[in-house]
Amino acid sequence: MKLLHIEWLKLRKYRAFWLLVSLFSGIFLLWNYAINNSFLKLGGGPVNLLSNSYSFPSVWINMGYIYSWFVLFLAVFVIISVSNEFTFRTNRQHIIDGMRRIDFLHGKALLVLSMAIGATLLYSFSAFIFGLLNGGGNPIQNMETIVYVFLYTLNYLAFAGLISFFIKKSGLSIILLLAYLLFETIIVNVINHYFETFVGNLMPLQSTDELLPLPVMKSLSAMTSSVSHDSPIYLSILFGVGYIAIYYFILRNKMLKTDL
Amino acid sequence: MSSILSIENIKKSYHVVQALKGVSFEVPKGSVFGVLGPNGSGKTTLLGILLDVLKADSGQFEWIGYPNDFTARKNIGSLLETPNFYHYMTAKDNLILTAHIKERGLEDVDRVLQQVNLYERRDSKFSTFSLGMKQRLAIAGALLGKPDILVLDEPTNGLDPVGISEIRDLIRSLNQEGITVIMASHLLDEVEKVCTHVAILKQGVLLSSGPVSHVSNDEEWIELSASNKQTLANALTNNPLVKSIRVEELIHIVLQPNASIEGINTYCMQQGIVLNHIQKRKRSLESKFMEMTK
Repeated sequence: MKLLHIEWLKLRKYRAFWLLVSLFSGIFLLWNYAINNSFLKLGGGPVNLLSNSYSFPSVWINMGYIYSWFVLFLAVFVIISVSNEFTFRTNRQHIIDGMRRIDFLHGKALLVLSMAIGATLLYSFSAFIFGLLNGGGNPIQNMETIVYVFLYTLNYLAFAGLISFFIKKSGLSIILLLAYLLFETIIVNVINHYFETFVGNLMPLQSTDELLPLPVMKSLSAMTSSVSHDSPIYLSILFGVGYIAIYYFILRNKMLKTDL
Repeated sequence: MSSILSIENIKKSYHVVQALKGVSFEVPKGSVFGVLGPNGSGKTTLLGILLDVLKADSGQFEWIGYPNDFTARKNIGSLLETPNFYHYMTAKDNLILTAHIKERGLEDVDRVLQQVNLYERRDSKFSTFSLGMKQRLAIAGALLGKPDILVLDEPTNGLDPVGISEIRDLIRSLNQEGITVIMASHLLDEVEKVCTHVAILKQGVLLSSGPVSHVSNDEEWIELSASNKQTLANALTNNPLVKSIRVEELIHIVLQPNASIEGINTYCMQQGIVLNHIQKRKRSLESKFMEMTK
C-alpha cells in the first residue's frame, strides 16, 4: 500500500492523468449511450454491425467489445507515467532516496493493477446499469466477461509499461505501441491464414483480444470460413496470464541488474 | 576514528572504457570526505555505485552500521548530478513525496524549505524554478529527516558566489552536528576549504586517500632571502640541516627531518647572514593534485 500511496502522490495533481482517465470514462460511457440509442451505427441503411442490444445477458459481451477500444487511453497514461520517471530521472532519485529497485517496479505494477481494477469496475457498473435499464434475460449469464475485461486491461497496460521501460520516451513509446498493434494484427492474420490455424491468436495482445470479440464478426467468421480461427477461451486466458508474467520477469531482471 | 563506509576493490566498465579500476578506501565517521578528480576520473560513477543507481562489475562496499543498503540510503541525503524532481509538482509536493520514500515525517518539509530559503516559493511548480533554486530544492531534499550522511556530487554547480559560500557554511555546520559528508568535486579550492579527508582519482585509479593534511602536505619547504643571495646560497649548499636547495628569485630549501626553521635562522645569524624573508610553505592540495593527475 505504501508503494501505491507514493504513486498516488505523483498522480493526484497531474492534469494528464485526470484528463486521460476522464476521456476514457466519459467517451466510453457516451459511446455506449450513443450505440444503445442507435445514434452510432456501423454500416448503411438497416445494417448495423454494432449490436445495440444492451439488455442482459448480451450487454456484457457487447460493452466488453466496445470497452476494448478505449483501453488505449489508459495505455497512453501508463506510458506517460513510466517515461516521466526516466525524463525527470526520478527513477534514479527514488533509489537514491532509499527505495529498493524492485519496489520501483512494484510501484508501477501496482499502478497498472489499480488502473485495471478501476477500469474493470467502470465497465462492470456501467454494463450492469445499461442492462438494468434495458431489461432482458439473466444478468448472471456472460458475467465472466468481467474477468476477461480485467485480464485484457492488465495485459494491455502491462505491455504498454514494458515498452516504456525500455524506450523511456513517451512519444516514441506511444508510436511504437500503435505500430505494434498494427503489426501484430497483420502477423496474426498471416499466421492464421497460411497455417489454417488459430495459433496467430496467441500473440501477446491478440491472446486477450480474443476474449472480447465483436459478436457480429464472430458469427460472420463462423459462417464464411471452413476453418475455425477461434482459439479456445482457456488458451487465451492461459497465454494472457503467461504474457503478463513474462513482462514482469523481463522487467524484474532489467531493474535488478542494469544501470539506471 | 571508526569508518562509516568501506569500499573494496570496486571495478566498473562502460563497454570498452574502464571507469573504475579497483578502487578501495574507507570513509571515517564524522569526516568531510572529498572525492577529487578531473572530469572523467570516475567520481560520479563511484557515487552512483554507492547509491545503487549503477551496478559495479565487481568489488563491494558497505555502509557500516546499517542492516542493509536501502536502509542506509534512507539515512543518506544525496545530491547526484542534476536535481531530479517532478516538473509538474510544487516544491512542497515534491518534498512530501521524498519524505514518504525516505519514511520521514512530513513536519520536516517546511523546516528544510526554510533552511534553503525556498519556503516562500513552496507552492511554485518545480518547472518555474531557476537552476540555482532547483539545486537548493535538491539540497532541501537531501536534508530531509536529518540524515546521518550526505553524499554530494558537485554541490556548488550552478550556484552564484553567495550560494557557493552558503553551501560551504552549510556543509561545515552539518559536519559539526556530526553528519558525515562525502562530496565529489573538481573544485579543489572548495574541497580544501571544507574537507577533512580526501581521495584523489584519476582515470578510475585511486592515487591517494587520507586526511587532507597528509595528502597535500607530505612535503614542506622554506622560502628564504637575504640581501646577498649568493652568500646565503653558498651557506646552505651541502649544509647538514638542508636536504635540498633550489635557487630561484627566492631560495627554496627542504629541511632534513631533524632540522627546524629556528635552527636555520640561528645558523644564518652565526654565519653573519641576516635574513630579510623566511617563510614556511606547504604544498597546496591543488599543486599536489596537479602533480598527481598530470
